[in-house]
Amino acid sequence: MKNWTTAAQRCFEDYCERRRADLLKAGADPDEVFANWRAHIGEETAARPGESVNAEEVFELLTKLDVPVEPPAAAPATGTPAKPAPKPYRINIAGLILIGLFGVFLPALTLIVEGLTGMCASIIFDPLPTWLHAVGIGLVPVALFLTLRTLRSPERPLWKTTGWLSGLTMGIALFYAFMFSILTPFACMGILFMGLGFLPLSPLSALICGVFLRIRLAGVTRKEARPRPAPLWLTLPLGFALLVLLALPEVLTQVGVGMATTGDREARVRGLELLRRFGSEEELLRESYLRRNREMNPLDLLVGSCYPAPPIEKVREVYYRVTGQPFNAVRPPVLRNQRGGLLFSENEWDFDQAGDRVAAKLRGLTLEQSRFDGKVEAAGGTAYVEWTLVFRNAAQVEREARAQILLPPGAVVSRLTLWINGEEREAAFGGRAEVREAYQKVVARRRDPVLVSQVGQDRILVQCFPVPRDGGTMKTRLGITVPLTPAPDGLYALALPRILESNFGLAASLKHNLWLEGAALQPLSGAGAQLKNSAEGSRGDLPGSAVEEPLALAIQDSSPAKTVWYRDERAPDKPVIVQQLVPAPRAAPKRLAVVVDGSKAMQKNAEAMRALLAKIPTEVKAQLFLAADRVEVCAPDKLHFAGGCDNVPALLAAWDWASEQPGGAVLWLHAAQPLESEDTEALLQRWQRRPNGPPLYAYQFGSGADRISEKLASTENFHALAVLLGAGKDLGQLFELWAGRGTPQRWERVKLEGAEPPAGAVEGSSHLVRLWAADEIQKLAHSRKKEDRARAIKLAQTWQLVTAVSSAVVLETAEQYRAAHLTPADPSTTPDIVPEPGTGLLLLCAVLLLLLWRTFRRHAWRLPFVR
Amino acid sequence: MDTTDYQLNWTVQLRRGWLELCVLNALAGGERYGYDLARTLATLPGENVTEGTLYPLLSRLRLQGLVATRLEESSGGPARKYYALTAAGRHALEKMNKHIEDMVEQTRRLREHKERK
Repeated sequence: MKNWTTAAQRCFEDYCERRRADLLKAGADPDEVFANWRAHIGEETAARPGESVNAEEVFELLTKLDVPVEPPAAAPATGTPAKPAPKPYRINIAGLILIGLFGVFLPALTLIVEGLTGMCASIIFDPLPTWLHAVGIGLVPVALFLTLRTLRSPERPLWKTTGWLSGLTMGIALFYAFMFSILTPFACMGILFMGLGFLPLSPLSALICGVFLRIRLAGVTRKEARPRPAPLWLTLPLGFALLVLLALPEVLTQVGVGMATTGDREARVRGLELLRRFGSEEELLRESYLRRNREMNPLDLLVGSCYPAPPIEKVREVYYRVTGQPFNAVRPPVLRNQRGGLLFSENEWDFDQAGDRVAAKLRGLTLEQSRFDGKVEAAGGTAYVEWTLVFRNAAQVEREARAQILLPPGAVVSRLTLWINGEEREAAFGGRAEVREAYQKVVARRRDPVLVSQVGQDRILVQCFPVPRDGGTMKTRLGITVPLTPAPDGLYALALPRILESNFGLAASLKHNLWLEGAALQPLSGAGAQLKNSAEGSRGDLPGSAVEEPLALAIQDSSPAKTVWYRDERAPDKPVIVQQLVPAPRAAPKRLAVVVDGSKAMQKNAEAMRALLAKIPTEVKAQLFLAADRVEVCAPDKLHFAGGCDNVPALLAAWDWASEQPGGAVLWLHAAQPLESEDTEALLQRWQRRPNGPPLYAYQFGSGADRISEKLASTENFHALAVLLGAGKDLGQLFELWAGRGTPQRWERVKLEGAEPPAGAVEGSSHLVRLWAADEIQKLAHSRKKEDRARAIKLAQTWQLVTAVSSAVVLETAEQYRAAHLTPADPSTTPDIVPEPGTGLLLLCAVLLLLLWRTFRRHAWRLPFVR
Repeated sequence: MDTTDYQLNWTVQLRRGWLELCVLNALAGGERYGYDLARTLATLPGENVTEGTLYPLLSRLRLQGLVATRLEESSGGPARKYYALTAAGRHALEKMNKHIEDMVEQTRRLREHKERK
């Protein structure tokens, strides 16, 4: 069968179109007749030479059909008279202008303005939440234009296309006219009195134009026997339904948020389930940043009448519960203000500046350089590590760098410095409240402070301000006194601090330069950590992400002495502090309530956790509580994970079960807990009112803040288990001990009032006294006596420690220190990584200096520059 | 009116119904495809049946249920549409043939009666 040339096709179609009306009048089916003519021409031309049917052949054969035919452009002239060109249909110039203006131009302009500025999205509702909405709205002016063209230029009519499009786009325009219906009266008044308000009216104007053109189209096709447009009863609801379908996730998200923030716990759970199944994560994120006005469109009004709009904090909580990640851990949505600018840009204001939360990551702020310097005193069982951090800020505004840092188990911050004008300045240590007040005052004046405060057991919050804008840097140093931690296989380990949560990123080229002296070290955990041991110590470069995971270094070839002592030179009576390794309690609980966090972040640890739970000694009666949306008592193989779950209800249930009989305990295996729970007080109450109740052992998988542990840290029965190996491997050791295997040991530090050191004890360093002081402060902090608290603060200031009662701050000027009633640490009293001089050596230096001074005074008159 | 015009008009009116009868009779012997039918009818002397007339007629007959169609692929050209009489078509043809024979007979009788006078 031969192909037809385009010209032949055009010639044939033109002929057919002109015959359509006659054929209909004659009672025939025009399309059938056209097909027959086409087949007939095909039969006629099949035997002819040539590979395709050209316009001349079609013209020749059509002329035989006994009907006048217009010759094709290239066809030879014949005697057949040409039919006159059809007249345009009745859309007069006024109609054309009006429809062109209000049906085509105005909707197109509205779409462009909204797309570029997000004006409507910022104040009313977002009409373009997805690109499909933009396509739908874009179709409206296109359809109206095509319909106009078909009616005005019948030479190239698009009957079928316009028939479908006109109906569909009327449905779309109807939907938006409905959504803007509340604003319509105001827009009309605005036009009448101020000449403004055309944009909100564009859906309605497009709908009116669409109805008019549709009536014309139907009339013309009926009159001229053209193909009838697709029925309106089908296309209009289809267009409307498409938009409703697109809006459905948004509506369901609002309903879900409404349910998830009600007072009824069961309704909240159903709301979370609805959101996870049908909700729009994008919409939820948008709502977490910007609450939209609920009175501006009928759909919102409808939802709002059932579920009043919750506060934005509640929406943010719902976002975490649904997705398992805090709203500020993901890239902010593109939200624009009324002038089209981005609401959340790289230079957005940091609302948590100088606050006590780490909050959202700030773009452009990075940890650029990092180094660990330290000295291990293996025999003394202590180490001192200095972590130097250099922050860089690429944004155009000054930034505060904030991080929550997990210290090694039992460690304490004993030094803090900040580089101001190239000079390293020491911090002042004081009570938490006064130090924070001093910091906030200075931040308000945009000067140079750094603040370190404790936020939980072994957790500190570091805040530095300002990291200068446009690529400026800020350098600070944390000195940490660390007790060596008993590790598997009889080894002792030095754990390094790690970042749990930060508002800065890690620079792509970041490496942590590590240089530790005093012992040979080998990585016990920490991916990518490789160290070289030499006579100088252990050195190596750690990958940038190493500080976000557990990193412990095992001490090789040496172990701490059983008894170590050091004299507290800063106390008036100069007592001896003794540190001893004593057996740790190993009694297994009789009843163990295991609470497993059902959050999505725990999914990757599911297998490791099941293997661990199988190792719980058989003599321990264990019950597993899954902290999902509802508390579930289940078997290890029935664990399931979704979203971000509130663990406190499960902890409450676990406490109740474990406390039914004496000897109970709660083991809590969890991921980060970035949100507080409304039931935290109930949990605190249980441990505070029953101090001898079941202890809580908490083990965190992965990084991230843990607000619940921060709250529970004030209770004596809360124990955050040390994370040396990570991913639950440390728990194996605990279960081994409960099964009666191994000989656990722990440090015990005591003060011997005015006594001489015990016989056979090894002399340690002042870090031993710092660790004892930290222990004492922790005990005193739990006391309700005012004088005990004052003693705790005094002790912390004496030994320059960051504890539950004290913080450290570096200010810029002496005046600022005076105003805050703080005194910066004397550099000669702060710890250093160089060996501390013995007392005898210090006395010798003092005598030498005195002699030198006397000699100088005696001979000074001989010097020419002394008058 | 010119007698030539009058005759032309009369012929057109007569041919309108006559052509339907021809088509139905052509199909009485069995199904035929459109092109074949057109060729056959084109050979009728004095009828001058063109495709422009035939195909609309066939379409109308199909819509009236007098003929039925089926498509069959052709190796040499486009698919062929075969037309065949339906039962209603046969019944109609029978009546039409009878009616035309009666008309011719009556016309003949009228003419013979005039000649006898």
